[in-house]
Amino acid sequence: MAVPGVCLPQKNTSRVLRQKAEEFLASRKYANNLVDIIGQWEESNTSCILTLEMIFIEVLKRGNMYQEQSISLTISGKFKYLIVRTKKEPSPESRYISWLRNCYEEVWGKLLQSIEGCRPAIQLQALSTALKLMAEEGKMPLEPTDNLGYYFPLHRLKPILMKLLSPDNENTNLIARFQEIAAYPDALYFTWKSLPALTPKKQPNDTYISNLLELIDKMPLPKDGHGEKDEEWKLLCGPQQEEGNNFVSWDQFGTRKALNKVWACVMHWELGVQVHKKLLVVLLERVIHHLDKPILLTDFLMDSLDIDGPIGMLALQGVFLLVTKHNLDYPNIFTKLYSMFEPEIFHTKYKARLFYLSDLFLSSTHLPEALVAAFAKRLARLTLVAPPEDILIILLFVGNLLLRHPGLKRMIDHPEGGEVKGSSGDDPFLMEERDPLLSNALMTSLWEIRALQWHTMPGVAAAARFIRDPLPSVEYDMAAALERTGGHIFERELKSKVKEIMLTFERPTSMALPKGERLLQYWQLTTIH
Amino acid sequence: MVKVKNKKRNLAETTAKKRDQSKKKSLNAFEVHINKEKHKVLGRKNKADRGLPGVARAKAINKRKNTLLHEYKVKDKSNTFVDRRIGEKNSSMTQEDKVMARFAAEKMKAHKKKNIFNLNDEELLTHRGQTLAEIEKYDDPRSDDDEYSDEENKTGKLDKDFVSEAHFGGGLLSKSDSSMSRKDLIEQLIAESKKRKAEKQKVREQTLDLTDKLDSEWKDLLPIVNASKKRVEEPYEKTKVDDYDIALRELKFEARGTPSDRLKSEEEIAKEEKEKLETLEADRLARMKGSAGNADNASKHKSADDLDDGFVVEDINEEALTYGEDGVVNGISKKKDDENLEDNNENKSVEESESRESSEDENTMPEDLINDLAHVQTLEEKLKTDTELVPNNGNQIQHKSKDPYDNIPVLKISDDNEVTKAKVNKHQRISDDADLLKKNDNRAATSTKISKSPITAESSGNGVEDKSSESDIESEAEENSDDNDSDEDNLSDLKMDESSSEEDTPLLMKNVKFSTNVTQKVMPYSKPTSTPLKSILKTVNNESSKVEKLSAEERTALIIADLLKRKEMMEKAREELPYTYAAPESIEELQKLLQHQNADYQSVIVERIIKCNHQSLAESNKEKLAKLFAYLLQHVNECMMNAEDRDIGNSFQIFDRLCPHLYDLTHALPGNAKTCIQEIMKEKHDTFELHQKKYPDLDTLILFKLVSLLFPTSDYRHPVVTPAIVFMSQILTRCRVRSRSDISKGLFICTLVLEYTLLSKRFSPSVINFLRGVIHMSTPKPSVQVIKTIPPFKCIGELSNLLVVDTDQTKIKINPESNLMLATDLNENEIDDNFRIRTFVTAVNLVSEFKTQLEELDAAYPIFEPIIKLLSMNKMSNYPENVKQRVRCILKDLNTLKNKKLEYITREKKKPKALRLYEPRIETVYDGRRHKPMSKEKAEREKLLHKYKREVKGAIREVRRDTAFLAKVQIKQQIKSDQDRKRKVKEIFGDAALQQGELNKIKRSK
Repeated sequence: MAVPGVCLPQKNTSRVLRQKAEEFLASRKYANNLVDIIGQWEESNTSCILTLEMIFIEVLKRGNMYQEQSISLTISGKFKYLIVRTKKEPSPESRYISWLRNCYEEVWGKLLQSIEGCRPAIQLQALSTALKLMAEEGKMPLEPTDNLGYYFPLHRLKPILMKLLSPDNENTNLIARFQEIAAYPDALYFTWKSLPALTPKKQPNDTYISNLLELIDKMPLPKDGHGEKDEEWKLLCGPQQEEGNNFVSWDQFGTRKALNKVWACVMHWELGVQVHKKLLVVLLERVIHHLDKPILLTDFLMDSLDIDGPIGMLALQGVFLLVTKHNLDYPNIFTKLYSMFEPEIFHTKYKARLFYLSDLFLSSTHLPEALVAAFAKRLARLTLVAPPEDILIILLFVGNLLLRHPGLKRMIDHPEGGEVKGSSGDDPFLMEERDPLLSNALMTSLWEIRALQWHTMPGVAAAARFIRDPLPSVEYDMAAALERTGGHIFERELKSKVKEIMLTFERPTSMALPKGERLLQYWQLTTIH
Repeated sequence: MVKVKNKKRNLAETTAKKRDQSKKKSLNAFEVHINKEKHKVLGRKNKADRGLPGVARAKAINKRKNTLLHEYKVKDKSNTFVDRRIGEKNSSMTQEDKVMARFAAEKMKAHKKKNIFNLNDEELLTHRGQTLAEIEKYDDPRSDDDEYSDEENKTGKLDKDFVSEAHFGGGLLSKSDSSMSRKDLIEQLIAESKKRKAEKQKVREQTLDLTDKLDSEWKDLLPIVNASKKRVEEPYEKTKVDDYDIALRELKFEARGTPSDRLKSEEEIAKEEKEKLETLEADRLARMKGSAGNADNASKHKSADDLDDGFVVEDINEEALTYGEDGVVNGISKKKDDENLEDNNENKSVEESESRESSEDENTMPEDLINDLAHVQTLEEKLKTDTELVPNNGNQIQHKSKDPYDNIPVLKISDDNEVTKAKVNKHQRISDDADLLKKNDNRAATSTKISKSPITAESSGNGVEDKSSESDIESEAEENSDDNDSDEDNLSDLKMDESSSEEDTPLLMKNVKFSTNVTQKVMPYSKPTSTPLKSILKTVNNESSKVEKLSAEERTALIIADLLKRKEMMEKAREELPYTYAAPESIEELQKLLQHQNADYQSVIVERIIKCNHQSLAESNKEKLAKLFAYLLQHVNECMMNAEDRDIGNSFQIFDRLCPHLYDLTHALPGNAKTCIQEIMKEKHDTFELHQKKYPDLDTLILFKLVSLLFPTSDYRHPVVTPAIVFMSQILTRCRVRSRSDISKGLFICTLVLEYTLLSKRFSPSVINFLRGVIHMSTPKPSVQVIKTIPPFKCIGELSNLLVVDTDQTKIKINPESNLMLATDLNENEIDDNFRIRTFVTAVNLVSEFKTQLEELDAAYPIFEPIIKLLSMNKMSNYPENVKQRVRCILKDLNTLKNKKLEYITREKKKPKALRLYEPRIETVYDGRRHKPMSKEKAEREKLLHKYKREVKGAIREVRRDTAFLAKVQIKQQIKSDQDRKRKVKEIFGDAALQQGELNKIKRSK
């Protein structure tokens, strides 16, 4: 990017470059300008790329590189060029064309190189230029094609994809940029088409996997029966005139097959923790609906389930999907879910998902009361160590559980009241018990929530009062609470308006409070002169 | 007999009545007009079924005669004649009755004015038209004697000779010279008499004039005469001047205060102060409860008609209708006040020692705290006044009987008082403005000393031989430090007392400032207390923990030296620095002022800036002060940011000194302070959000401390405090703990949260988590088992064992009660064993504090369970013995939580809902007329309109009848006057005819 200090010379050079480009385009006299411009590749990347993009788009539009071909067996431009040179006596015109093409190929090579290893800004620029050139080439092919009217420059797409799926760098930004062309069905289709070939059978490294997953995540896959004949879809490489468009219409089956093929490979790889997590996310959010036999995932998910933390949780979601949609029978799912509620969850990124999921899991009103009670009690226990924003979620959640299962009302309104019976008078709930049904939850009350009424945060204290009031008739909406962070709470408290600002009424003579000083009781802060 | 008579009389009356009735009833049938009824309704009594038009008309006419006619008659007449004679208009009175009544009224009037006990003068006696009383005043000095000096003129009549001659002289015959006729003689006599009278009159007037003149001249002379007299007396008086007389005069002529602004006695001032504090405290409590308290027992307002639960209405009203000054509902607080009052009364009856004990327990009962403190203070003040009045032992004996512990200290106090009082008196005489305030201050200062001394006596009653009255600050300090070593409860209590005495010190110092060199002499005796003392105490503690060999004398010497030094410093600062400062316009200006000064100097400078720019002095000062507040905050901020290892104590010192001024500025401009601090906090929070895992610097931490100084931390919700709490809990939950400074900062925040929640007893999970983490860090873990902890801390790895003491440190000297973390801990990174042990003990101490705070919660055991487990797992083999004991003690304390009886949560039983009683729904009955269906308001309006119409009609009718009546009157008058005229004309004609007839007769006869 332009650093302020070198801004001026760069501007100058870009102006010079543009001038040269215009001269080049204006007349063949200045053909050598092109060489100059390419020569400046290293010095001023961005402007050079932009200029070249402008030149070649113009050239492609004019069809300057288009070559009538007698021999049409050739596949790649380079070969053809060689053949042409050998077969025919090169006229100046054809020599110029071949020279131009040569330059074009050189630029392509440099672009791909830039995509791979440069500064991010240049990478992005190079990629977008490559995509634009590809699109232009699709519209105005360099050679006559057999499929009249439609042509997709696959030989351009593949190297780009290969660069994107580099095993060395995480290309999240580039893939995000690449996603832009995914709006065009033809580009999408050909991307999917070429993916299986790019997926290796043997174990690749983690970066590659992560790039691949990123790409899969970003490439949309329309649902079945939708988007087959969508009029509004524009083609990336389609010819301008509409009537000549005979691009093979969206092949849902083909795409799915490609995806399945890719995924079949992916399933066999061994995964690092991060990649595993990512894979599960992509699987759950994108892929699983398009797999032919999701049941095959069971083993994979079961293995993942045994890993603690977010992976286990994500796997659980997968299992849940299989249980609900594909008739998998897995009775321990609630025990598993129960064991996931540990104090550590509050420091993971997936806690919102977990709460969302468990809300979903426990949405059935036909679950045994003891089970739900165990969940409620355990969650209440967790509030004793949770940060305030999570306490708010949990309170809503517990409230919902109480709403769904009227039997749980005894936890906030015991029918008999009185003291807890038992040997020690301690809370009968067993926090360490793994099985929710054996945790004695129905024999306790939610004292924790009552304790929260004394929480330092007024919002939490107010929310915890719900156990005192009659429950509402509709469930609480957890969605808003799931998004909230600690920063929100801070800001909201700062903004809270009051009529009068209360002040302390005892004048201190030093750092110490006139009464109730604690800091100086434990800390010696000042020195004496 | 009597009965019969009565009967007879009754009979007579009834018959008479009957007769009357029959008379009235016998109406002429033709006079009755019967109003026809269209429909007869059974059982309805119609008043208007018949009318008596004749009677009614007569009535109306009569009425008009009395009113309208009267008005007509006086129509164009402006003056009226009111006849006030008694009974004049009452026709039923006879003439005699009237006379009697008038006489009685007259008598009554005469009686009324009289003094009922004065039996003598029924009527005023007069002489010559003047009452005797007037004459007896002798206003007019002219007596009769002057006028009638000679005999003959006495009566102003003709002299004897003349009269005898004239009247009785034998008539004309006896006189020889009868030249004059009798007529002449009489005339002469009259003239003579007139002349004499005129002469007499003239003489009299002349004498009067002369007397007046003499009087006025005498008045002019009078001052001269008096002056000469005085001059003679003066020397005599001068010798007589006496202290007693002066005092007497002073007392006599002293300006007397009006009853309304009477000077308040000290008790009253104290009481007012106490009441003010009580109301403030009650307010604070109300705010602490927030809406929780309100929702608890104050149900929503319901109208009186509501029958849902009619039986509680009164209760609610009583509570809900009390409002505080600021509009906050005060119902609960008022209740509390009552309780306080009760407490107070109890306290008064209870021995002093008990009240002291209760004040010791105050840590757990903040509501009573202030009350008791104030109570103790008043008691002490009383005591003080007593000692003033009778500065001997009589008073002390009284106290002795009260409390055995007070014995020694009171003795000391009295001595001390005498000393100080003497000094104070001297001081007062010298300083020009010997105001009451000063006295108060001194008194208060001594009283706080009193409050301290009993404790010292209590604790060290066994081993303190120091009863001498040399200068008790030394002994006190010494004892205090002893206390600190021996017993922690006393420490906290002592702190409380110290803090109460702190309020007085600045005032005291102010006084000192005004006085001249005498005060400097006084200084060593007039103990400056509290703040310096406190910090010094602490250092002493610390040092004593390290170097215990330091003897008591050395320590006291050190303290005195320090005190003197500080005092001198302040004094020097006050003298050296210029007296006026302009308010700084920018932060640079302020820094230029404060840059190279030490903390005390800075404090003085800021104090002077504030004084010079006080709000009341100029309008623009408000803005200046607002700026100053912001700059001071920035100054503190920068001090903290730049604090290096060496410097850190100094930075805290600066902050320490600036706190009171910040407090003052906050009170001057609360809104400004709020926004300033909020903005700074927001800024800090933003930087914190950028580096979420890193502990913020000291400048952020000190901000929290400042917040707790300026704003009430116990409020349920407060625009500054609540964000601060949120911020602190975020720091504790998120930041990674890796180094010594991290741990120290975390503990610092934990201590602050403890301070914040001390009164409100709120629960903050993040603090407990942090303490758990610290204890986890210092627990050596068994190799097989992983002990879980909460995420900012690691369960395994090197970071989880940062605080484990590996080497044997049992020899290290650490006092677990007075263990203090150091300011330098906040900056250093290396962890040594000393730090480990200190941190561990501090964490455990904090846990125990939080335990006392939260033990009332039902979930207290689950909250502390992990910590209990960790502590019981720790063998503490490498810790010093006293630390071990302390921790075990606390652990035992924590374990009691487990035995707490839990009660199931039950909702409050709802009151049975009473059946709703509806008002009867009344439907209109069909009555033949068609009613338009209309809304209630409209119907009401229609009704009113109808009524109005009828009234208007009635009024018009009345007016018509009035005019008719008047017309009738007029025509009658007209007719009458016409008739008169006719009659007169007829008469005249008749007369004329008669005359004519006579004339004709004469003519004919001629």
